[in-house]
Amino acid sequence: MTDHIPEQPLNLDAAQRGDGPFVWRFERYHRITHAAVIVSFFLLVITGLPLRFSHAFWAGPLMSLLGGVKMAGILHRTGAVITFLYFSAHLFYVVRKLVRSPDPMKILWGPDSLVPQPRDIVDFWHQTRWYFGRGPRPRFGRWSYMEKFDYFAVFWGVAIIGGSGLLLWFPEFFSHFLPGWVFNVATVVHSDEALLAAGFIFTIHFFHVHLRPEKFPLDAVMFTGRATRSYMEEEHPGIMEEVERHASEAPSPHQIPDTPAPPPTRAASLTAAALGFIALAVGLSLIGMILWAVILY
Amino acid sequence: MIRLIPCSRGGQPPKSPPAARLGALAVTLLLLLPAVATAQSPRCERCHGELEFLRQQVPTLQRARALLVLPEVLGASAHGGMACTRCHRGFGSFPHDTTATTTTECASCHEAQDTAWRGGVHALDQGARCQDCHGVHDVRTKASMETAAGARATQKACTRCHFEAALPASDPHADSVSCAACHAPHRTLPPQDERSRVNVVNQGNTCGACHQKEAKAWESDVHGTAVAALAVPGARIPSGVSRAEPPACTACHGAHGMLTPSTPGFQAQMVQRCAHCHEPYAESFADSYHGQATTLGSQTVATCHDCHGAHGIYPASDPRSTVSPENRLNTCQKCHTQATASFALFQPHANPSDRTHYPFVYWAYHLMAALLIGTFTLFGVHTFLWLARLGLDALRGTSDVPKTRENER
Repeated sequence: MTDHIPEQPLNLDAAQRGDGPFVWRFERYHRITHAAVIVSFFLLVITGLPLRFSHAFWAGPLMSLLGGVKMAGILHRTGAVITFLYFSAHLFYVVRKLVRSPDPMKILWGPDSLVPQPRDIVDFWHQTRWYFGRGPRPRFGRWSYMEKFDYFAVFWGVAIIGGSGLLLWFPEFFSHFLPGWVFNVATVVHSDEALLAAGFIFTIHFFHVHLRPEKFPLDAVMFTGRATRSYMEEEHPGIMEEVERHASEAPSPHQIPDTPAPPPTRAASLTAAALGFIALAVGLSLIGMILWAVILY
Repeated sequence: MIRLIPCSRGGQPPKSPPAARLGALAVTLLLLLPAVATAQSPRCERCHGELEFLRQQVPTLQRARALLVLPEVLGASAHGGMACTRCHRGFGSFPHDTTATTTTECASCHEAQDTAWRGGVHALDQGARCQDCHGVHDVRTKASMETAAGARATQKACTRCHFEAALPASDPHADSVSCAACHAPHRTLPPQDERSRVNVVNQGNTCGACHQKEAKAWESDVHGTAVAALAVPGARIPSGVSRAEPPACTACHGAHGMLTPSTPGFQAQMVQRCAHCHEPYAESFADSYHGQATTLGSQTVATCHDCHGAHGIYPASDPRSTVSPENRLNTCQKCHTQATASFALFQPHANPSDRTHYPFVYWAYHLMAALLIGTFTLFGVHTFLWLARLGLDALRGTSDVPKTRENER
């Protein structure tokens, strides 16, 4: 590749649809956190699923592949440590952001905020009307209600699964303060909540982010950090005013949301697509295994 | 083995053609000139110890082999010091008396064994005679049969007929225990027969002959007392005990091809065996971490006998039980060294459908089920309607799929 031949956008990536220019959507921290979520989540699901469905035909071979029950336990706890690290780091990030922000209320409420608010109920209502042909699609702001749900689902999931997981990791220690039945309940909750998380991510999240016709087969905005203006207009029309405000600025590598971004290099696009497809393939395979086990056992 | 002469059924002594007999006479007379009439065995050896010589006297090699008795084989046998004529009566003179027709029965010396044998299945028509197990001229001494090599030789002899009962190499008995150690050597009876040493009511004694500690512990536990009740006509049999498969030694350990605790797969196999009678407990075990890891091949997590004991199992209400309130914490601490009294209140067999006994687990299970069903229903419908809307629009040509993406295609 030479500099004077413009790089073609990658058709596989829904975030590169239509015309440029590119706009930053996620900063580096978001992307690293999301990568940590992916890695730890897959590690946890792959090592935990054979236990949950220990009688499924694939459970034994998968366990052997992982190096046996003991090794799977070590890997599972490694995934847990990564989870606790990114989770603490994120809590720190949020607090720091609130403290440093000149207007913390903008983070807690309003169009830029991830906090669910009445507007989301209205959007959900409009979305439902659109399903039945009774109106146009809602004009989502920076975060659609689906994205807010995904974000808070991680909080809920890490708290519930992580908390019950810690109880089961150190039962002797926690039994100094807690009655024995708590560990019975922790087992049920850990396993079911994890099944909910895996089932949700590998079906609903995958559909909403990657597989619905508007985005099929992949949306790599969380990997490259940037999307085209066309994408932003269609997926997040509510914040176009902000994008317009920065439109005259020169593309910058600083990854500040809404500011113009240089197009991702072809290598970055290909890497993002490869990682995305691997994650999709593994996730959908796991769903297949879960369904097989649920239906047959 | 050389099948020479059946000892209990009688049989015909070797008959050689007259010409051969004449030849034998000539040669033997020459050889035996210095022999003394009472030194019978060395005298017999002169002819019966030389295959080449015998071959010249009889028409076939097969016949010669049948007549051959190697002195070293006979010498090493239990009958090594005995004169040939103790069994082969009437063959003491040479040329052999043509009217000598029979070989003495083993019973003439081994009367007790013969009586026992007559009471067992091996005395039936298709059964086994003395020499089928003991050999003829190579008959083993009692001491040599009790060695590991002797045990293996006995196994080899028995499995010629009972090939299905051959012990695989993984069986802890394969290398050193004779079949006769468990199955009565002479009065062999089918296991269904209550007089059989391997019948369930007798296993405690039979296996206990070597495994005293285990048998003693088992004798008074839930399994041992249940089996003992079976042996008493009219005794009340504890509920749940199967008459067809009572919990004696082999019900858990199997008979041929049993595994040692260190064999991979032993843990999972034992769980299967317990599950055979204790199905609901096996199910709740399978749903617990202990059970899941065992199913997946872990050999370190607890299985049934790690908590309940193997021999010496008592109901939790019995103070002798390893899972009684008094002993439970100790049992947990075998693995969970730092376990507390509260830890020991964990319910390893909690059943989420049983609200009376496990209310917390019941509610956790049902609330989680509601959460899962609710979430997947809500988002499933949301997703389905989304797809349906886009599909309908595409059919009508009023697609709302982003135009920029459409242009790309």
